[in-house]
Amino acid sequence: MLLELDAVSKAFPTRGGPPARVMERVSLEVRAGEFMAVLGPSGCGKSTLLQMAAGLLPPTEGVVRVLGRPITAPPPEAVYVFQQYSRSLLPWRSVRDNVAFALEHRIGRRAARAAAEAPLAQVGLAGFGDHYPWQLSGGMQQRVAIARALAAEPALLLMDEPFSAVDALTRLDLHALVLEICARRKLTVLLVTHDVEEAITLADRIAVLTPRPTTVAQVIEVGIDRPRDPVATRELPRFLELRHALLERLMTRHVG
Amino acid sequence: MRAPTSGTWLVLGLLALWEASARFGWVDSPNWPPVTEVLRALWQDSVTGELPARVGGSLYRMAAGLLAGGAAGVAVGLAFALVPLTARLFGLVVEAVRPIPIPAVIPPLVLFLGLDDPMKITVVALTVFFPVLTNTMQGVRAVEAEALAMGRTFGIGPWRRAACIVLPSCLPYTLAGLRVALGLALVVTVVAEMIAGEQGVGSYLVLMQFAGRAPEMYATVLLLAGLGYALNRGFVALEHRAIHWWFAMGR
Amino acid sequence: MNITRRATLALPAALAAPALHAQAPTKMRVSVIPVLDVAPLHAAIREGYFAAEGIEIDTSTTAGGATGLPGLVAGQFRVVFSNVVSIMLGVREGLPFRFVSGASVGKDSPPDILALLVRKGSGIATGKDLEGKRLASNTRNNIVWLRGMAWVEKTGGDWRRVSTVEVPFPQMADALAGGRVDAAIFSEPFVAAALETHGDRLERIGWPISETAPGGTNAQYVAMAEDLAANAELFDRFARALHKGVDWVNARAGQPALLELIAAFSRVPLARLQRTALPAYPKGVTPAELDTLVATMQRYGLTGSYPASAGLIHRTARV
Ligand SMILES: Nc1ncnc2c1ncn2[C@@H]1O[C@H](COP(=O)(O)OP(=O)(O)OP(=O)(O)O)[C@@H](O)[C@H]1O
Ligand SMILES: [Mg+2]
Repeated sequence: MLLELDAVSKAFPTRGGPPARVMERVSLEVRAGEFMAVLGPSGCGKSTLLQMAAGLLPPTEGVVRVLGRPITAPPPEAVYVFQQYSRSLLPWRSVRDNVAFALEHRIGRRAARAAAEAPLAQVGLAGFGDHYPWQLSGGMQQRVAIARALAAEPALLLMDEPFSAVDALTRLDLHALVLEICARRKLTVLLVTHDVEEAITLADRIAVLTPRPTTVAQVIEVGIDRPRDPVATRELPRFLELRHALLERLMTRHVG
Repeated sequence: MRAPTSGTWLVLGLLALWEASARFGWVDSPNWPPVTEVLRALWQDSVTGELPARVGGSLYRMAAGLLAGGAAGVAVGLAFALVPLTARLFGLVVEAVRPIPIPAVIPPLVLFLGLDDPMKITVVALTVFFPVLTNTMQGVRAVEAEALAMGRTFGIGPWRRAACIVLPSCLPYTLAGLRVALGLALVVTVVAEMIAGEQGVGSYLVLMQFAGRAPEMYATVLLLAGLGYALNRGFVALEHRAIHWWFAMGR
Repeated sequence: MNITRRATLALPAALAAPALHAQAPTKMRVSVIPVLDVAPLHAAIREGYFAAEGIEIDTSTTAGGATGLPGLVAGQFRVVFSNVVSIMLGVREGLPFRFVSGASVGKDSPPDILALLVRKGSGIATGKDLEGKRLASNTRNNIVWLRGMAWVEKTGGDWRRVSTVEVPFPQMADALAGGRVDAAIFSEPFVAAALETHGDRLERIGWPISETAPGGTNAQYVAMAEDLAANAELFDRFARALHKGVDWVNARAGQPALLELIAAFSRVPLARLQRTALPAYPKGVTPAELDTLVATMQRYGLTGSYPASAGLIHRTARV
């Protein structure tokens, strides 16, 4: 098991009142090489869950394990891709230097710069190395963030709604990119999203969360063969069936 | 050559008005010499080397004060913002010292540091310290939490995170504080030099006042105005170079 | 504290002084005001009299007397040039100032180094006319102010009914010509400057020194008592050099060489200095002149108990 969340709870202290329990004994297992999506309504604690998985936020109760070892700090195997890509890119660094930032502290500036070219090409940004992030569109900025994550060559990629801030067409484009990267590399991915179609398109398994206090309601096998095409996949009967079931589940949860 | 801007024309117009008001006796005082006489005085004491030497001395004191006060402001600002304990320990002292007007701190500084450069540079450093401190703290607070978490997820240690994420992202704030401080620093340097001693533009101003040499006095005033303007322009140019990204992002 | 530390450090140096002259001159910082009165000090510096005594003088110009005497107490200066009223007020408060040398006194007859000016046509001619009016002095409670008050009384006015306004000398002529004050007591070279530039609008109505106290005392050099006791020999050398400067100046009274010297350190244009009245430059300070001054101070509200004058005069000023 690459990543394990074992009965993890999270409570945030509140002013005066009792702590707000956001997450209640969530258990989740991510196998090596699989793509797991976590699906939940907005505000249910998806980012919180992912940050705990990344070692960026300590759980109030429970344990997070990476390769069986309990973690208290960001483990070297995992890299986190942020929901707000524009805030995680460094505006004073060029695109190339932003990607190189993932490696500089390990292999030095010069080598890191050289190593940045391949992931940039992989996300389709060859030739944009000398640009600055703020000179790029939102979709391109998210590609830079992905390239930076790839540069670190992580075993585990943790992605927090990485495509929620881009338009629908760009999102499809990025889905294609992620599918292609996962096909090419041995990557384990934990993706958090509130977009049902995104989850089905990309994931092998989908964990559905309840509203707060959040628990895992269900884990569903997607069962759609790879390689997948982000456009064609959407027309498969299995896709429509899953979409229907998941939407209904989320909606009823919402209503009631 | 660029055509003079409307601002340039305004300055030239004001200088012409100055010249006329003195030449035609609109302002009738020997302590209001025509600007041409002022410029001649400026030229004369420049070619003797006296004014350049004094300006150099003043600039040295100002730069030393800027450097000391700026470095202290950045260090304390970072410490206050990053290590809450330091803010709790020393915050009150800083807040208590901040509102004291500079003229009021001069007598104790004279008592402890004397009348020479250490006192004058300290006065400048104190003036510079507060705007840099405040802005640096504000800058650290403005650092994106995502950027810091990004550093952690890539396994970058705290020192490197401070140097490569916190410092660059609060640089625009620190520089803005420094730009404010630069204007104050020149003024305070001259004021400190007016208290005592024989060095610098400030003491020249006192000497010329006592000698009743109005053209030289105004020459000093013009010189300081020009110096202040040039320093600010130079600083803004450096600032645009150092944090071009900040301006490009339209912040 | 500073003084005593310096004194203990300086003591062995002073004992070994004659041998050390040549290599290591003793640095002495002297607080001065850029006025005519300090001509002998600058003469002695320029003519190398201090160097010959193994002393290096470091003058520090202050805009007014304000930082001079406090700086002496704080140990910033070894010697301070100051007007006598400020010195005696410090002494009255128990500060251990001692006179090291005389600096300037008024002459017996006009022109004085002080003059009282009014606007032409203002109708003010006496102290009586000044009652209820605004009189500018560079500072309150200094020698300039004291002589002004004496002049008001001498010419029939009640000094308590004249309101004193503090105006720095460089701004006095403009303040007076502009009507912001009704009269002003100027010190040279500002008298000459005011008459040169505002002569068409200003006129002199009084000579406050020669009309109230001919030859009256004006300013001196002082040092701290402990410093003098611990380094008597050094101050002997200081006074010897300074007094050679006095001789140099007095030997050139009315000659261009003196005015050139003054122009060099004060930066006052030579042409103006030729119309400027100079003080007399004494070497010593007498108990009698101090007693007379203290009596005048008591009369104009600067009351209190002053120590006996004779005890304030260091041996170097008893000449
Ligand atoms: N530091 C914090 N202190 C207190 N409450 C917090 C904190 N961080 C998150 N919360 C609360 O926890 C809940 C879950 O937040 P989280 O950001 O994980 O939700 P999310 O599912 O990622 O939402 P979205 O879909 O909008 O990104 C929210 O109700 C939020 O108010
Ligand atoms: Mg979120």
